[in-house]
Amino acid sequence: MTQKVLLGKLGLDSHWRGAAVVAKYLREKGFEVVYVGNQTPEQLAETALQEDPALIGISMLSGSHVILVTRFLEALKKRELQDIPVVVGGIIPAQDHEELKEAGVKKIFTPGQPLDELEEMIAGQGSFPSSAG
Amino acid sequence: MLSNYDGDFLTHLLEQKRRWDMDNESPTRAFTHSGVEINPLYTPADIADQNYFEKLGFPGLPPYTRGIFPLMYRTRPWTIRQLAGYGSAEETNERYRFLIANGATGINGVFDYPTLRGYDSDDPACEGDLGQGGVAIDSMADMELLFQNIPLDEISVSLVVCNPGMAVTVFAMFLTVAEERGVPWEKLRGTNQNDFLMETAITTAPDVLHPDFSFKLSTDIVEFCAQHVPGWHPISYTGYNYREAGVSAVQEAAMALSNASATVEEMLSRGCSVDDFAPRLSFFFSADSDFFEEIAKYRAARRIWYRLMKEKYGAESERSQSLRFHVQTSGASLTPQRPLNNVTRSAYQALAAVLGGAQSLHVNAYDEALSIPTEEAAVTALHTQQILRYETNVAATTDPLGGSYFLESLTDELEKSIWEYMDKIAEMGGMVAAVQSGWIHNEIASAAQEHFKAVQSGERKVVGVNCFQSEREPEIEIFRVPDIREKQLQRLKEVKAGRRAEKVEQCLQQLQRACAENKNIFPEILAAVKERATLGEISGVLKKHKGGWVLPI
Repeated sequence: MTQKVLLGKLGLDSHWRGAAVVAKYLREKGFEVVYVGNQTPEQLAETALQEDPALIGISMLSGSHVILVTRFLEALKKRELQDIPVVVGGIIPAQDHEELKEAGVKKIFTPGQPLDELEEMIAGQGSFPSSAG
Repeated sequence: MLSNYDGDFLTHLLEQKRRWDMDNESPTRAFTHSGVEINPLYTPADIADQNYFEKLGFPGLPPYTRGIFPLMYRTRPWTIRQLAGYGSAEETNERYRFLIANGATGINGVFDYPTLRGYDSDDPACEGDLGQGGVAIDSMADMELLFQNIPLDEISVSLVVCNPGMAVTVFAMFLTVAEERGVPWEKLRGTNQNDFLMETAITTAPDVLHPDFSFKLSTDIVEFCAQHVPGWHPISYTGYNYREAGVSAVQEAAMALSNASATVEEMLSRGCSVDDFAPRLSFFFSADSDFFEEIAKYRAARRIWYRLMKEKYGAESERSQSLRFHVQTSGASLTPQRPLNNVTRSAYQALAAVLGGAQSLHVNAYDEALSIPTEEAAVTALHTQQILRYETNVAATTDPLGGSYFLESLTDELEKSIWEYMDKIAEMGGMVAAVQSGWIHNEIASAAQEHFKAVQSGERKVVGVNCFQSEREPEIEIFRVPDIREKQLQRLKEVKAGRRAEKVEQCLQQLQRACAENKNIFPEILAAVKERATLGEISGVLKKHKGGWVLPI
């Protein structure tokens, strides 16, 4: 079965280039990508509940990543979806990586970073229990 | 026809060049970033058939290839216009004044994500985004503070009100601040971005105005300014942002020029005369890393604009025919890895802008791939401009690269490619149609994808990212946007308590009617702003009238 990836942006962040590039990349690799554009943390968690993706990717270039991603992870937990791996890509200063990871983000992709690892993470979701990350 | 060189000279030159080529075959091929092949060597033969008077002429004269002013920077130095904006109006006002005190000669005000999409700070959609990426403006109370102690009749102000849906309101607030301070609108100098492509193609948001409506709003401002704010540039086609979204130099220029054509045609269809509004149309271009291609792009764009305005639209005024532009160095070329490398990148890009004849310039700060600039990074960017102006001596003569065999040849090549791309857009029915169909979005996404692949494969080198990576990344200070939520909510509450609620309601209803009647709605927006209607309230009417468009991406 084709694995599904949910991609979105939290809040009013206006940049869509990164998300579009990652969506195209993953589609070319054979994954099903659901790109939902801008949503609030609650909305995106609700979308995750409906879509049941193998991985959730959030593109953030607005500077609001810590507050919005943290709230999103809480909203996921509320729906008992904390086992779905969440990755964040975009403009995320190194100073914030630890805080995001402690909050539950599996991996952070910054500009120029190869995406092979993202592919492996999604592929890995099929053969391993999702708590393995 | 006059050509640059005579026959005997050319025959001799071509013979010599043939021999040189045979002795020096290049092992590699090279291309500009937009795909124009670059020869290993250029000689007079490459520009032999160019008629100097047709292609270049003198600066300040048609076709304006060499610049729009006769003496360029000697008499019209470029405006040092550094972007600024974060948090609340007070903090941004302080940053404006800090930059001016350090030698900036213009303001370049950027707005936060909620403001750019017409939300008041108390809207649930703004969660987490207040004061991010720019200053939060909800109402006249914020706008008054934003321009406190700034003489509006002395300094030119660029309002980065990129989306027409909010530009109408924030510009109306700016005009109202001027009016209430007793500054006549005739004395105001500055620019709105006000580009419908920004609203409907380049950036994304949850509730977007339809392209035709966003476009209509942008031209409402153009029409209003032509009548009432003659010194203002009502629109600045944001080629810069198209480029940041992924397209090439050719696409950037072609999309911006096609977009300007759409405005001109709409204004003509409203019965305006071209020389009444075209003198104030302006452009905003990127300065990316391919040095000569960027310079050629600016020169080609000036030549195209001249021909377009004169031949197609019959403009007589010199100002209508000469393309004015602001430049920002490329944000997308900056790297979070080794941030100080960005000083070097931005400096080369800024040099290209000045050699290309820009009227005003923003140089990015080295930390912009990480956060809003710290004061230290902002000052370094400002100093980069000042070093360029006062130390390098490059501004002493006009169009110093004019006549370069390579640059003139490249300018010609780009001109050709830009015209071709513009023809493609025209065949589709023009810019509004190209956006509505999703063609523009697709072009942008494809170009971004190509760039991504070139960087991933290493074909496009990015120092510190896919080559010459550092083992040890230096840690730099990150700017943190202050939490302004409480302050904004309190101020909104006070504004709402202190105004005439009935009048506000009437104004909003009148605006709704004006939307339905498809007339110029700017006077209604001004009236609402004067009664202290908020950005969110006014935008709410616009969104209700024609929002809910989903970007085809």
